Amino acid sequence: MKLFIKELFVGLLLFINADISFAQFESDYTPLTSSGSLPAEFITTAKEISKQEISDLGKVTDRSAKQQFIIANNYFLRDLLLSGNVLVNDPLSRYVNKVVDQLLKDQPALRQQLHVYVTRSGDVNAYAFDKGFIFVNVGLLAQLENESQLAFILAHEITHVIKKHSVNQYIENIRLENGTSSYERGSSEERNLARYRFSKEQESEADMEGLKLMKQTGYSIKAMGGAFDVLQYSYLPFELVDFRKNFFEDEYLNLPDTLYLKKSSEVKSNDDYDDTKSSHPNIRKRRGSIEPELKVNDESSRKKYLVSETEFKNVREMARFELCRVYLIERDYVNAVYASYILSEKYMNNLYLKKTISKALYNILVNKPSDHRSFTNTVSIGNGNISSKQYVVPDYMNIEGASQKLYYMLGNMTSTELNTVALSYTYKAYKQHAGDPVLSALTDSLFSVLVNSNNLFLRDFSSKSKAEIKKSDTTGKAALAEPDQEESKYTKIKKEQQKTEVETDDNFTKYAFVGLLKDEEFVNRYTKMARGLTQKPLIDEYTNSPKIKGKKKKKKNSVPFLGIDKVLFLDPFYMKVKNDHGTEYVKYYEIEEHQKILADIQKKCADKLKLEYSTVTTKDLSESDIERYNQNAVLNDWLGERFRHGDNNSELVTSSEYIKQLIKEAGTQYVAWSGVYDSKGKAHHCTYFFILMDLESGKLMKFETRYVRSNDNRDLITSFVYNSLMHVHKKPSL
Amino acid sequence: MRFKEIFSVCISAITLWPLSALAQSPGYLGKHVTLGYSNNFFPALIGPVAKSYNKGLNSTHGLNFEYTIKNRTNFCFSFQRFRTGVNINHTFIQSKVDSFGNTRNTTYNFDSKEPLLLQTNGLCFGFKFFDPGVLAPVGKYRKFELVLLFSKLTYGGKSFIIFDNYTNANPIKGKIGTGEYKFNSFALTYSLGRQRVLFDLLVLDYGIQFGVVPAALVATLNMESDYSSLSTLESVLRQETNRRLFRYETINLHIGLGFLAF
Repeated sequence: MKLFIKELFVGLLLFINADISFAQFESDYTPLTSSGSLPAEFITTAKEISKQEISDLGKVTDRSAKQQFIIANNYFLRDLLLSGNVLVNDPLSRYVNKVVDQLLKDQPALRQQLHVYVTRSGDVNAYAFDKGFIFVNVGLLAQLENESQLAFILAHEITHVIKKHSVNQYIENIRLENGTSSYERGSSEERNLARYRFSKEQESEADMEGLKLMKQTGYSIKAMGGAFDVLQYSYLPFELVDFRKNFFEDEYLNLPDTLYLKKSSEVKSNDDYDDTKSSHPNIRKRRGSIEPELKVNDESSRKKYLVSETEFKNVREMARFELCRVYLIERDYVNAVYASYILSEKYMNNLYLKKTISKALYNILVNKPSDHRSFTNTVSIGNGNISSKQYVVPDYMNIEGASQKLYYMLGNMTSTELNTVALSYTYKAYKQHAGDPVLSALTDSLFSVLVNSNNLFLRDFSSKSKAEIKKSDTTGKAALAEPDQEESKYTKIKKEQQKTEVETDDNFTKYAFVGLLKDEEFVNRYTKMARGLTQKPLIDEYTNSPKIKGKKKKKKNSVPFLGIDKVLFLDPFYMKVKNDHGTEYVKYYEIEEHQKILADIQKKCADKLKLEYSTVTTKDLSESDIERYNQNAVLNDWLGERFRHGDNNSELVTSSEYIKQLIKEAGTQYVAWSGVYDSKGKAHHCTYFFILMDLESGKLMKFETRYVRSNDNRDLITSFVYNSLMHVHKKPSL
Repeated sequence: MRFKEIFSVCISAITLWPLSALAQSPGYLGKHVTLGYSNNFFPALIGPVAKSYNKGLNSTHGLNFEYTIKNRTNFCFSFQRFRTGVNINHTFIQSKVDSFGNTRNTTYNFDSKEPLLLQTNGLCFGFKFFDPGVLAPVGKYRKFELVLLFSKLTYGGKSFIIFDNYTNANPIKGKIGTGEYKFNSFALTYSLGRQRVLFDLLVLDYGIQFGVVPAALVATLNMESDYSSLSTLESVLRQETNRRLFRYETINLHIGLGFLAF
């Protein structure tokens, strides 16, 4: 009886717990951030670590290669750790670490060597470094079916660490390159293939050893088999949910069937693909080699979940929410809409999902060729050129599974159609979450595109529904029955046109706002935008005006002064490379030193110009600097996303909403990033760049590049930096 | 005099300060004006140096003023001064008709242990064009300059031995005494060089300069019946001066040190 009560209590507790876990997603979702104190590896410089590790190497074979590996590995690792993509002490990392604890329950010494983190990347992947660092992507967590699968993937990565696969592969690659490998000494092509073969052998070993490790734990071996399915179908969204067009429809907005694919294509993934030039064996081979080993006698006593099923599902849900944001940042807009759509089925009122969909629709829209005039222009700022990177909805023919319908719809919609649908969706979301500034701003932006780009005004939309028009048409016919009322030819033509429109789905946009036009705020905002009373959001005043034939173009100051008083500087980029007969060697040690020099130069130049200077740096982090680390992560997300837009200033930087606090704290909305690439071969080549962005509007304010055949002398760099900052600070001449 | 000096300094400052402050080009850390000393030098392979026929070094001292007018352009003004030697290794005859209608030839023989002393002051105006990519005053450049040369050629008492052939049988031998001639000329120079800024203050400038003295070219092309009977001592010395200047300016190495004034 006592036991029953206890079990009942535990069950109830779990039920309540489960309910709480998922209730958190009902109304909104807050993106993951790091918390607690920063681990030592985030604080120590790569140079310090490398020097220590090299001195610990002692006399070993392939010392030089190992030394190179240590340095390259440490610098790569540090870049990754400070990229802002690595989450520290967040629910996802904590959970993954608990699974590692389960795996290595009996090996505490090994467990202590491992540092396991979750990274904000959409790739369905996990990877390991020799030094015991394992990274699991959010994209992988979102796809998993159970904890056992995660445990197997982690066991696989742990094997890579134990067996020192990275360093072995690095050394083997060098030997293959030099022709000294005992593995393969054939032609260059054969040696290249040998590299893949070597890597595949390591992967197979990691699978087998990982399975052995799994068997030592209580995880279900049968359940982990699905891990290969996860990998095989990793290109598909985390769930296959049929996309219904009524998601965007309402009583009046009815999408025509021509925009809806009746049947989506089947999933045709082939697990026996050619893996000759692949680092991993194909899935069929991996599955085949591991299958005979899957049989265990104690499967019935093994569990899918050793940590917690609730926690796994909660973590997976978080990963899926996080993935929506990652898709936006990675400019995968249709997937962002589809992932949000899947989650919306469960969390209908979630503000985060609605915002994700609105942002994605907006960015697809501004990249579509306008029905009236080109909306996207090329930016000419400074002497540099950023190539145009227009987003195009991927061809639906290349998409498999249920999401194909969404690709088809968004790909085939015209700018006007998409604008109407996006505005309708966003405005309704805004009304539902009244006061949300992001949805409000997006509504204005969509009005702006409607007016400025698609040239549609209130008069272009019907305030009467098709049913109402049909009804009035019948009344009109009855009136016409009177013999003295004759209908003119033109009235007949117009009526005929209207009849066709009403009876078919053509021009569905005309009737899309029938319901919304009854809303006073909607009408007012639209009217204001049409009259130009509200600020034109996201339209860029820096874009070039079209050339007028016959008129001589006024000579424009190609490098305008911006009159900015305060700038937030990011850690500068520095790369020093030695080019030796076509092979490039990165001078890692010098990089850190020169980064510091460049930062000092920036400070000096800003001081000279009386330009207020603040920095977001990760160079001198301490344990307690988690806030600074998070700020850097937010900024990196923003910049990464903005750079993907290229010169498209009209595209919305979707992560802007998370950067407001940083702008407030920094006291400026302008962020600058500069860097130097110095290469020494037969001659010195030095390239300098400077980028200034407006964090509020996402505008690329300045992009400057300079290339010289000279080494990166301090005075040369100083002159470049001063010039850039002078243009930033100096007031524009009237 | 003092007032004049102060006045000119004030005027310069008043003119240059706004030029610097309102400049559209960055200069170096906002400084557009460089003042400095430079030296052009090259072994005197053909001509003598100031006090010796032996091989020596031609050396030109210069005071420079440079102003960054555009991102890659400097306006250059400099005052330069050098001393060198002129050697006339031939005889020439000067003909004169005396009051009796007789032609008198005077043969000039250059005969001295020291070359003639040529002292030249130069005023240079030009532009430095920095390479694409760099910003003045740092980096590689090409410089075009016009050099106005104000030369003074001095000969000493024993420089010339003249033979007056009044009576051919018994020419009079004598010396013409000391004297000097002033000649004006100009040169066009083209330099390839590089500038570095050290400690954000000092400007190190080094390179190579090529130059031509057109007057010397003209003289050479004409191959004037040079030392014909119509030659005067002055015309001969002018030609010799120009030739010496030509050789002097043909090629020079260049090094300079300046400071960023404002």
